[in-house]
Amino acid sequence: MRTSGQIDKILLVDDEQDIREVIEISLSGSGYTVFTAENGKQALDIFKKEKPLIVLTDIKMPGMSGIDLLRKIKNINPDTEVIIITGHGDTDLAIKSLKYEAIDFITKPISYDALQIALKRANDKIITRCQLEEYTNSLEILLREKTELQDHLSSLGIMIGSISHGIKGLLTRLDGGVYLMESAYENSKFDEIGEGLSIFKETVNRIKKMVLDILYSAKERKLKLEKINVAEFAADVAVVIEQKIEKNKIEFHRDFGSDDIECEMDAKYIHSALINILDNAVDACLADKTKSSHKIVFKVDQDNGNLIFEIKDSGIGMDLKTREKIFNLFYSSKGSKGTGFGLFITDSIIKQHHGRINLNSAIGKGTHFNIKIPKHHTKKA
Amino acid sequence: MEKKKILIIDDDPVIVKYLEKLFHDNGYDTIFAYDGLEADSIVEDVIPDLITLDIEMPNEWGPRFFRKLTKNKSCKEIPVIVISGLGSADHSIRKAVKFFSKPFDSDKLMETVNKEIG
Repeated sequence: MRTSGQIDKILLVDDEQDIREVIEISLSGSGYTVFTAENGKQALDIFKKEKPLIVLTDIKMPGMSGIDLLRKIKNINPDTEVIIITGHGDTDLAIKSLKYEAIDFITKPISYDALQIALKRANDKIITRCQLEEYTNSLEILLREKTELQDHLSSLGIMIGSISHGIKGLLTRLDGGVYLMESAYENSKFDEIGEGLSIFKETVNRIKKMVLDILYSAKERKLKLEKINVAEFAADVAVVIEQKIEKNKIEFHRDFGSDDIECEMDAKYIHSALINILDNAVDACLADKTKSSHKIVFKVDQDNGNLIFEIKDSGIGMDLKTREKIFNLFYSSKGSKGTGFGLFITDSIIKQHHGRINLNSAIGKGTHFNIKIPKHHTKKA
Repeated sequence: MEKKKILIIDDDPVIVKYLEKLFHDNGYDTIFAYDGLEADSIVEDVIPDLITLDIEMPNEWGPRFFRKLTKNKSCKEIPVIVISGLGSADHSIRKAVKFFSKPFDSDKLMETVNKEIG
């Protein structure tokens, strides 16, 4: 049980030595560790040092009175239980002591039974208070756990809702692909079968990507940090996106700096983070029909111990509202084309690397991502 | 007799294509819009005989489009079929003729369409 003092310690205060001795013997016999003081000042010193939970004090003492001592002790630790020892005819004082929250008073000459009853009362109160404190603590913990659980559940709920929404759309596309194929086949329009088939293939690829994204976001695994040659790594990233860029006749400008830059990172993670941004860059270019040609720049740089990836596109760009929400889970500016996972995952990966993403974008002017991660991770990521 | 016209509203071009093909094969004419804004300007010129509406769309949102449509005198009698990836019909869409959840059963959809305007 958690207490702010020790329940088997008692401080006994009385200016008469024989009374102190008699009570001390009685209390020691009951298993208490007894500290004695002959005046209020001495009592306070011992009280501060030993922190007993029960104080037994005479009411009439030279110097500091029992009532004053009671008030001072309650001021230091309100949880201390104080039993007042009164003489004959001290009824008014005894009542006053109750006003200052003494637990009980016993009258001189002190009977063993009266002392035991007062001590039991003090102990019961201390134990009840400790239990109450413990209940309150457990209740607080339970409440906190409940709130956390609620948060988890609600984000899980949002996630499941969004995933099922996405899957339903994709299934409808598959139905559409099959319907187009069947209809073309029945009407012997064989050239139209290809259309259905390509919808089918494209949708299956999209489902694959969605599943991978869900797996990534479901478990934030520990980073596997390795020293990576950045130019080689960037070339590997570029190769994956190149095809899509060239297919759409977008100019692709690469600048990977010097061959000897090295950086500690989880290559697999940073790879998918960059692909997500490059993928978006292509989509942003395709969505902008106002320009006759488009360009994507993928650049690697370094400064003061940081590695910098820059990805610029000349696409449609984003307004302020979109820029603010772009890293949110399930937010997509691409309508039915997006899952709302990509940049959320990218952002978590860069944060896991203790890095930062800066974003500049304006409608019609394109978008510029600046991703900065430290080259060395001295501490565990 | 002139073919009945169905307005398809969905932001996914593949699903628009699917519905177009399905309706054409069943003897209907179609027009389409990728969101409520486009649909708004279409119904200014052409009054379709039936509308299929996805509620989750960019720009002009499905339920709001539906509300506006039902206030428009010349359009308010047009039957609207909601086809959505959402689990259940949004409250404001209660007045819709029928709610289909994606992926939908094309036979049942045609049954509903034929019953309304066939």
